[in-house]
Amino acid sequence: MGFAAYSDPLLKFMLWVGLAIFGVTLLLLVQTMLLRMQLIVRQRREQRLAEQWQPLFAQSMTAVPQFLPPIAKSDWDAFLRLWNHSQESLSGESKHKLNQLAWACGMGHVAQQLLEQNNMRARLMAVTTLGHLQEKNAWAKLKRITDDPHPLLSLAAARALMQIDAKAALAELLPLFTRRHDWPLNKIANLFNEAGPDAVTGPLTQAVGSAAPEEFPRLVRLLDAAHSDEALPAIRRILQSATDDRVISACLQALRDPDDVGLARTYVRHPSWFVRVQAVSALGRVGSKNDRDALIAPLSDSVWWVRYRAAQALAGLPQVTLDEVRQIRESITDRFAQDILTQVIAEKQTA
Amino acid sequence: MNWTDWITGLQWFFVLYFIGSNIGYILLNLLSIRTLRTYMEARSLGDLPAYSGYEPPISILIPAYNEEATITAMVHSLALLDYPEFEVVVINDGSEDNTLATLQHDFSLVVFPEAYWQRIKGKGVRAIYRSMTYPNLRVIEKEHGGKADALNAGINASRYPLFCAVSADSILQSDSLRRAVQPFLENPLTVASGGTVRIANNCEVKNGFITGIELPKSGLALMQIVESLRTFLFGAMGWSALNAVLIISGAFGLFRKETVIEAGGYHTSTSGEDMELIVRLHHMLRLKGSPYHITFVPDPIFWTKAPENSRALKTKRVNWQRRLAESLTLNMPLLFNRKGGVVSWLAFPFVMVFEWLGPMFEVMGYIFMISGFALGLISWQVFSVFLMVAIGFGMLLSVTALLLEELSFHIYPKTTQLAKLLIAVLLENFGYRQRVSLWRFIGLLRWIFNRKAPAK
Repeated sequence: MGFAAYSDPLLKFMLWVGLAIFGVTLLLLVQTMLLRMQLIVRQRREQRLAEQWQPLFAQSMTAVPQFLPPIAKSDWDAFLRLWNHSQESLSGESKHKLNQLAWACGMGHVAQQLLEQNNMRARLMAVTTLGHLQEKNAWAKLKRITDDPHPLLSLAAARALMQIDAKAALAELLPLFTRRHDWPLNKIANLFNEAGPDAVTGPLTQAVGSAAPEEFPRLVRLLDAAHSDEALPAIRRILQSATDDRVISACLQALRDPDDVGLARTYVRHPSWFVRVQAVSALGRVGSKNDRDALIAPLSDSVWWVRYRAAQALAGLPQVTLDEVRQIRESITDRFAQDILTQVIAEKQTA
Repeated sequence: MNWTDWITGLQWFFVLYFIGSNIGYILLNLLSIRTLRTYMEARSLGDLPAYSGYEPPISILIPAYNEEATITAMVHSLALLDYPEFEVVVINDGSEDNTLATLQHDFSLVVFPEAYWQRIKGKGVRAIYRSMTYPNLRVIEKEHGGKADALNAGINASRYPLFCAVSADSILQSDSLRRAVQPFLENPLTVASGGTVRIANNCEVKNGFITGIELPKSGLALMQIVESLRTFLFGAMGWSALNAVLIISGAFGLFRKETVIEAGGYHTSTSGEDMELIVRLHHMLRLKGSPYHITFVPDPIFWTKAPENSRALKTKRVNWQRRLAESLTLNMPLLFNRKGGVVSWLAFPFVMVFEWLGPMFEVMGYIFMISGFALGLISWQVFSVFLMVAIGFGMLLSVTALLLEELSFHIYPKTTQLAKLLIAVLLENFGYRQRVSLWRFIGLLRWIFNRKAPAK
């Protein structure tokens, strides 16, 4: 036998390993129970805090109450979470009133302190709070945090800067908006919506003029996200000189003006199918009855999506009736084109 | 070497195998603690508005074969999902019951002349229906070809860039899509995401959603809760941190359509099409050198009823093992491939040794040690150390999984529920785990001897 008694050093070692495993298991069991107890205590405290402060938040919409209860350090996190959630649901003057309450409670300074901590959650809370408070004194620190590698923290800092001064922030953040691909476009679009098109379109349009070609696709999408007509001239300019398929596709996606019909027509026979899809879709949006014939050829495209969008565009052209679409279907011989038109006609009928 | 040397060698092999596998899982666990902490920090500050209309639209695909009893409730619950834009595509895979008639009646289906684009080849589509009451519902009626073939037909018919494959018996949460799509929003390189499956036995279900969470009354289902915590919270979560998740549950998975089509869609000749697809996506993208992410979302995404009797559970585990074996063997060139990175050199070998072949070593280890001890070939000291290591590590891992749950979602809010789970994590190591290993070993043997898998 290899080992027979606990006196064998290896077996002894294994025995200790086994005992250690049981010991650690027991400790983790206790920790799990302690965590649950902590959770219960925390939830109760947070509930009490909410019951105490929510009426005061409501009261502060008219005037900040003169006497505010002190907030213990252990309640900072819960208070700020409650306050930030209330801020998210408010707009206009109410936000300012709630800010006054936070200042009166000393939360501006608390947020500045939390910003210095290493804890990610505390910093995130601080950044969000300072943004709502529009604390100009925190500008430099927040600006530094926009370079943080963590996308959530850096984007929260970008949002805070936009809340403090949208125009100034945009001037500083534009290079980051185009460069930081870890900042999701939908989150940036939210920031633009909060800031409004007036604050966003000008700087974005200017940025297009000096952008490097590889930045164009993202810039065009950002311009589109700004939902502004002022963005269109810039998009046209880019489209006229664009050679990259992704840029062309992004520009075509943003076309909304009937004056751009010529541009859309140019790309209907483009070699890349994803450009053709956007071109026929754009033609559907900005085209007229005159574009009927231009949309018939793509009905026989090798890619289903091009055929489908072309059929949708054709059936959606102004002054083109369903009867006319049926006539087109009867007049063409390509089976794929006929099938796709049959589908789109049925969709129109059931819509 | 004489026979005593052999016995000594074998007893050491089994003890070390148990230690090695458990240390591997503990390392995975440490990784998932770190990932989960970061995730929970981000999640707890959900202050930034969630919606802007930029969420990509999603096609939800439900393959249905003889689902007349559940399909209507399932589709109704999907209509209540909290997501800006999605369509529901039910694929009736040649059901022999009244699945189609039920759908036709309950959703006012009419035949629709759709130009079906067969990008992935499969069995013939007989008709496509559109609902007159739910504009975003379509039903594909096709010849029976199995779940994978049905999903491929659904992919062909889907309109949107992302598709979500859902089992007809899953119970989703209203925010399931919103949670699962987050990786796609945060990282454009994401090609697939999956989430945690939770056990729905004894839970209150209203309008197709879970409204009250209770622990199952059945002890067997309770053990499966612990098992699923271990599998998902630290198994999948740990691998996700390394971008090496090899398993996403077939009951709910969100995929980028074009990537799946490029990979050839679901494999129709395996019963483990869901697992196989994930391994194949890794295989294709790693070998191409294309950057990508397959992400596991730790949030509870969907709920399912766990088997409450041994027979049903055995069938499930036996099938699971077969499916795992098929998905790995179909992608064997990925193993130790120089282009495969962490998937080829760590995740694939790990899953192969500890998940695929693991049940064999575990069962043989137990048989060898018990019989050796009974025959007096192995000393009681060695035997007791073996049991301490095998059972002790099992307990440690299960307790850690519960700790992760307590650190993150604490789905079971009552203290009595936690107490029951604490007892379950200890008890499951005395009989339940060994039984599951035995069933999985049977699954492995059946796969080796190529016995036909039960029809899906």
